[in-house]
This record gives sequence, structure tokens and C-alpha cells, in this order.
Amino acid sequence: MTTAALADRMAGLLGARPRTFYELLRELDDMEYRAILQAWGALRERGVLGRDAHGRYLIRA
Amino acid sequence: MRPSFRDVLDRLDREAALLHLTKDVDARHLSPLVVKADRPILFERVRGFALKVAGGLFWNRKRFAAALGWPESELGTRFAAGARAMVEPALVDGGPAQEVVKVGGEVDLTELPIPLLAEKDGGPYISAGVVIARGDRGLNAGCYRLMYRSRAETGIDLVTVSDLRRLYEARLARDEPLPISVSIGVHPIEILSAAYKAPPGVSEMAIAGGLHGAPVPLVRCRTVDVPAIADAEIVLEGHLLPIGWTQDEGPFGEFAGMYGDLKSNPVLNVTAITRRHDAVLQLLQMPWENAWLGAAATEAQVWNALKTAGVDVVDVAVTEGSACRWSVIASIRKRAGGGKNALMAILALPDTKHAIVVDEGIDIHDPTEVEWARTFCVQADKDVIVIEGAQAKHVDPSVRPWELTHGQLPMTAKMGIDATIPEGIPPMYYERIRHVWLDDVKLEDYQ
Repeated sequence: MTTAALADRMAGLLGARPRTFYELLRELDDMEYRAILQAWGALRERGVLGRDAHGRYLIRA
Repeated sequence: MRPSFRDVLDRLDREAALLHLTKDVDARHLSPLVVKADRPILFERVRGFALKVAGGLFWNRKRFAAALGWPESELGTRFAAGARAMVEPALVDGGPAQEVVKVGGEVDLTELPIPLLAEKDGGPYISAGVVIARGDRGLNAGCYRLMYRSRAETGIDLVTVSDLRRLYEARLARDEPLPISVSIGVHPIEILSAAYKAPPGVSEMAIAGGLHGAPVPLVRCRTVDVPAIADAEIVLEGHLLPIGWTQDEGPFGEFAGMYGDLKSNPVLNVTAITRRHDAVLQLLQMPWENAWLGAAATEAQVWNALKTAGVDVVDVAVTEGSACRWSVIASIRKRAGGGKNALMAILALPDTKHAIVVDEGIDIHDPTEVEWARTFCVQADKDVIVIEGAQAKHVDPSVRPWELTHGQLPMTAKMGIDATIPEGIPPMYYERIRHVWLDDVKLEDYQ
């Protein structure tokens, strides 16, 4: 899976409901940790990440 | 020549005090393995990464002392003595920290197996970095957590008042970035010194030199006008961008064992990563590894406060449950009224919330001994002092920080317990039982 595709998958998970980074990692057990770090960086650079009141990540509308 | 982080790992290895894990480890499991191990771990292979990882070196008093190479009982006194005999750092031409140099577009923080430490953390954190910045009165060094954001960017917590925050504010006012270096994998003395809030004008690296008895070698960075520790395992170079407190950072499982809030903070733009060929990323696992970093400095402060107050002090220890900071036990050779004098001296320190003072015969590292003194030497109406309205920290939920208005500082009540034998009670009433023929009988003679 490419970095962009994994970032899309992350965006989908966060779009469904807010998650902590740990909850997101638990959804991505099939992916290598370094690939997750790379995709996380790519997702952040898209400027779509937000937070809820509990500090969980979400996708800004 | 002072030892490096690598030398500390080698020494612990020779002392059979380091667990080598040679199997492929998922970086997700770095944190829980450090928590579960009975000694520090060197992870030889982390899947998907070329770097090794070491963690758990400061997990408790014993391990922290072993990493420093100091006796456990001398954490406070050694720190106090070293801090008085400062040795300025020395600038050297190159060092192992620059065996591999990656700048600009080559910078990629995902080459580092940056671990996620706690469930509600805002992301993976670099937790063992010594940040160096150039101040108006010399070099400033401190320990700051860095939250992974992207290939060349991390968050940094600059909410609390610190010298680095002051330097950043000055640059921010001129709309200029603040260049910094972050040395990771350095001798424990250098992290300990950086974690210490040195008085204005005093260089933390000079304190580290005093503790080593030799200068800390510094090397010029490749992309910023700031030095870094020459034999660090890894160095990040970069700028704190002049964007102010605008970017999300945290939550983070803090040294007190509870989560700090989601914060707004500046970010570090990484302009270079330099490292050893076979670099080891050190991780500090919260809460204990950070808490113990504060222990030596707190114990040193208590020693100094008691001596200044004219108290004949025998021993001082912070308690682990108070994050090695908030509660202090001291044993003294008491003169009349000396217990209360000692309490006032200890409670005058900004971080100390609770203090217990006992007589010299009590082993303050034995909770049962301390409880015996607290139970049988104390009348609560005479021997417990409470001081209301003293300086506090936000991290203590009992001060209800959420009820404070913006900019309002929290206050706390401090408590001291004089558990020395009270004046006027003959010592014979405190004579401890001694079992018969203890010196004459050997168990092995009957086995």
C-alpha cells in the first residue's frame, strides 16, 4: 500500500469517528509501524487533521 | 575523558544489568516491553528500522543510580557537589554524532523508531532529547518532549515557564525562528543536568561538566548556529518556527503519572539529522524515567535548604509515589525544636508539598520504619503543620487547575509532619525490642 493510500485509510477511520493515535494504530495492525509514521506525516501535511475536546483526532469538515 | 551514553550501555552490559533483545521487535511494543522488563533493555533489531533502541535506564532509583554510576544513597549529595564545581563545555572538531549527516530534503524522522508511550498520547514522542539553544548569557540546555508530526516536523511543549520559552518569546517578538539542537542518547549526567532548572546565567552543560569532572564535548551543528553534544547517538538540528502557540500538541502521559491536556504549542522544523553509524535511540518511558530525573536535584535542594537552616541533616529521600518531587522524607540529628525548623526549611521549596522529618535512627528508605515513626512519635494536634496558600503546579489535580482564570497561578496547602521523638518524652519509652541471642545463633547450624 502506498503512503497516500494508507493516509486515505487513516482519514477514513478518523472520518468515521474521533480516535486517539493509539486507537488508530490498533486499527492498523496489518501495517508496518514505519509506514504508519510516513502516512501520518502525509495526512498531517494535507491540513485536514483536527482534535475534539478530549484530544482525539478527527477530520475537519 | 568522560564516558558517553555508549560507554554507559557497555558498563551496564558488563555488570549484567542490561537486557539484550535480539529478536525482531515491532516498534509498537517498545513501550510495553520497557514497562515489563526487570532491567533496562537494548533492542538490537526493530522491524523496519536500522537503529537500535534503549529504554528503561532510569525506571527506578536503583537503575537511575546504576546508569549514573553513583551509589543510590548519594543522588542528592553528589548532584549538589558536582553542581558547585562547574566545568565549562569544550567545543571540539567533529564527533561520532556526525558520522551520518542528512540535511534538507534528506531529513526523515521516520528513520527513527519513535515510540508511542501511553494510550492517550497525541502521537509518538521523542522523550530523551537534550535541547540546546544559544541565550544572551551563554548556552541553555533543557529536556523537552517532541511529538512526531511529519518527516521534518515535531511539536514541542513550551507552555511551562522556562529559559527556552523566554528565548523563543524574544525571537517570536522579532518574527524570527529560534535555532536549536536536540541531542539524543547522551550520558545520563547530561540529561540530569539539562532537566535541572539552573539559576540564570548558569549553564546546565557546565553543571554536567562538574558532575563528570571533565568538560562535555560540543560540536558545531551543520545547519544551525548552535552546538550539540559531540558524542550523542543522534542529533536533530532545526528551528522553532515563529508561529507562537498555535499547533496542537499532546495529550501526554506526564511524569506525575497522569495525562497532561491537549495543548497549543510551537513546532520544530528539523533541518538536519546527524547520528552515529549504528545509532541507538534512547527512550524515556513515562512516568518513572522522567520522575527520577528530578529526584537528584530535589534531594540536593532539600540538603541545601536544611543546611542553610542550620539543621544537622543525616539523610534525604524523595518518595516515588509523589513523582519523586512532591513528598520528601528527611532524617536529622535533632536539637529541641529542630523537627519543626526542618519542616519549615523543606516546605519553603517550591515543589515540596508534603514533608516528614524523623530522627537519625530511622531508615528513611524503609516505608515501615517511617510509618512507625509517624505513628508513635506524632500527635496530630502538635506535630502536623499546615501552610495554606503556597505556590503550586497545574499538574496536581487537587489544586483544581480547571477553575483558574487565564493566567491565574494555582495555590496549594502544604503539610509537614514532625515524626521525631517529641521533647519531654524520655527516650526509654521508644526503646526498640531486641531479640535474644541474635549474635550467637546461626540458622545454618540447624539446617
